[in-house]
Amino acid sequence: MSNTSVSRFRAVAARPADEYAEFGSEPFPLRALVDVDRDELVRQFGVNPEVVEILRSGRATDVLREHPDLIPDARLVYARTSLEEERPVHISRVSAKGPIWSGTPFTLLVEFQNAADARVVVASVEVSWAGDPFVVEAEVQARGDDDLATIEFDEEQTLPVGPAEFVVTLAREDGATSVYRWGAYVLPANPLALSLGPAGARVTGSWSARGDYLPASDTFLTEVEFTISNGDARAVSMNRRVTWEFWDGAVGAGRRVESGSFDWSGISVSAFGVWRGTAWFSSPRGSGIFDTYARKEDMAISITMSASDGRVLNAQITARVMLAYGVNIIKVGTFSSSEHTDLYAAVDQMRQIYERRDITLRGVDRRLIDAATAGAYTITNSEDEFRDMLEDWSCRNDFVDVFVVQDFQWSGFNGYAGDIPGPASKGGRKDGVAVEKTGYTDASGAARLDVATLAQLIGHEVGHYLGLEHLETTNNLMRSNTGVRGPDLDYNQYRTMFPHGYVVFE
Amino acid sequence: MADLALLPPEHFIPEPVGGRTRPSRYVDIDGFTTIVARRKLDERLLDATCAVDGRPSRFDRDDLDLLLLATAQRFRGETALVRVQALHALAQIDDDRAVRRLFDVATAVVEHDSARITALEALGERANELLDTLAADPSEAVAAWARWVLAGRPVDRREPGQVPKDPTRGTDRDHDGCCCDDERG
Repeated sequence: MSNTSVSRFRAVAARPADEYAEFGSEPFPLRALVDVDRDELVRQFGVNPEVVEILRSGRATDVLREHPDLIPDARLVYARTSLEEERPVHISRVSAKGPIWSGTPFTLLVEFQNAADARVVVASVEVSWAGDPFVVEAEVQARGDDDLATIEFDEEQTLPVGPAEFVVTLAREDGATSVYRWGAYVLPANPLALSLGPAGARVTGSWSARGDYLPASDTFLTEVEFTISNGDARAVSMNRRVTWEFWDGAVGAGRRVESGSFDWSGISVSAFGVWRGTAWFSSPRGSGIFDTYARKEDMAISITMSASDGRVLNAQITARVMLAYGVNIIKVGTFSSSEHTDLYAAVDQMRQIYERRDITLRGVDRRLIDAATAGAYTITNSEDEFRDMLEDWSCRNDFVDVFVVQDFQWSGFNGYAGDIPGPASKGGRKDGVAVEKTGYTDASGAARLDVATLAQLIGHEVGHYLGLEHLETTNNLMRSNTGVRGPDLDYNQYRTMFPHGYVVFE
Repeated sequence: MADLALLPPEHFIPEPVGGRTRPSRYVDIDGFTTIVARRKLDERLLDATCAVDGRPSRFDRDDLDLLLLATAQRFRGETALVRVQALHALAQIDDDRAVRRLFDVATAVVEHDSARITALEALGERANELLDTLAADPSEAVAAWARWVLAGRPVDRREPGQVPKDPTRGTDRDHDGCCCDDERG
């Protein structure tokens, strides 16, 4: 008999296994402005043909000021073409030579353009997956304008089933580089697998689902993401019955707290594809799961499903109550709609980084100081100005104030925290953190923010606020160098943050 | 405030199939001194950039060629931060090529506002000749910056106030599991 029920479930959009990174680089070829095919640009993107000539004229800035309506089209062309003096190397696409199967060597293909005489000589790939990150490099033998580099991953560098992210850097002998972020889902070689993840599950290496207490309904809610991956060349249909069990202790060896089943119809996994879905378990007061969460004890969730051909799939995940803190995300100055979207994607990614260490967000409050009101505070010029901003503005709640400014012009810094730890009260010159937004123009000409970098930048400064000093351990979130940070937080850091006044454990 | 007596023990972290580590494999690039120098430059650009204990690196004429390459790298978001830091660094170098690059980025209406404002600040007083034009720039952020500088960079201190709610509604509501996700509860 179970008091817990599956309150809802739904399929969520799954990216193709060979383009799995949600915030991966956009594949596009880069052409020289001087010889780009204007008609092709017009056909492909519908841009005004005049903008190509305007950009080629050498008077683009003056002309575009007179015709601001042409600027969006000009930004698109500018984003897809290089100027003669730039002579860039540009990775246009990264892919794998066929599907990547678990435990099996594979090859990455890196398509690129090189506009200089200098040779591209090294390809370097940093791999993020469920384990520790590692690097694979290869010499590049290419010599043409449009070329291809291959990077072999051998027996020692095979990966298990699950998401993996590859940051590829090409280095040219004159020091020019190009960087591309690509993700893949490593498919099961056996060839069908079920994996469970926490809600969202976009950060590689996440392993715990969280129990959320919802005061309004006096229930604990457990959200679990299901991923079924198919390494076979034919689609697979799943039977509708899904069986679930929550165990106190190891599955099969501890005490079964509650169990049940529900019907989920219409699940089909495409050939070499991935299917994702999310289910919410609602546990009212008095249920075994509620009581176990209330005692702050871990549980193991076991899910069993079967394919229509009879194959049985089982997966498990730990469920636990997490520490939680809230953030006030304060946009300072102008943000475009795509920058707004990227900012909150970064906040969501930061949540997942902290959830890897069993700390989650209990709230995200969205705030805005518009450009006219913010005045000087849109750009952080000095420590005094940073602290003036904290003193002048705050949000009267028990969340960390996170100011996202247009730019840091203070000695090359890109973020700061009011104190280590910051106060668990508002008012004064220490109650908040600030980061710069770090924008770029994407291949469609839209103003964007680098989600992965911003997630770590905000997470790093909030880490200071919750009591963390810099720590130069490989892949740690608190490394002082922005370029080498990762999503790791160790248990000592968890213990340091635990007593902060803004951190709750309930 | 969480009670330390409730501190959970360190949790068991499941081991991925095949173990937690894979060996890295590197190419010997000692013969490519410029590539080695570029890697060091990127590391210096991003080192100690958190203002907590931060001491950002200094740059000089020896770095100029590579900084110009880094600032020309405008095609991917993954290098946006390096590019912005490189624009900052150009401000430290008294050289015509550095100044020209900063002017080019600062005045290009097709560039991202962040890059333009960084370049304008890096130019310092050399940007004054641009201010009247930039005050009417098509970019709202750049125009506001120029008007603020023309006004003498006023800092209007105010009585401590509450930050207003953000009324913006974007397409960002679909964060599965996020606490701003309205699927919760």
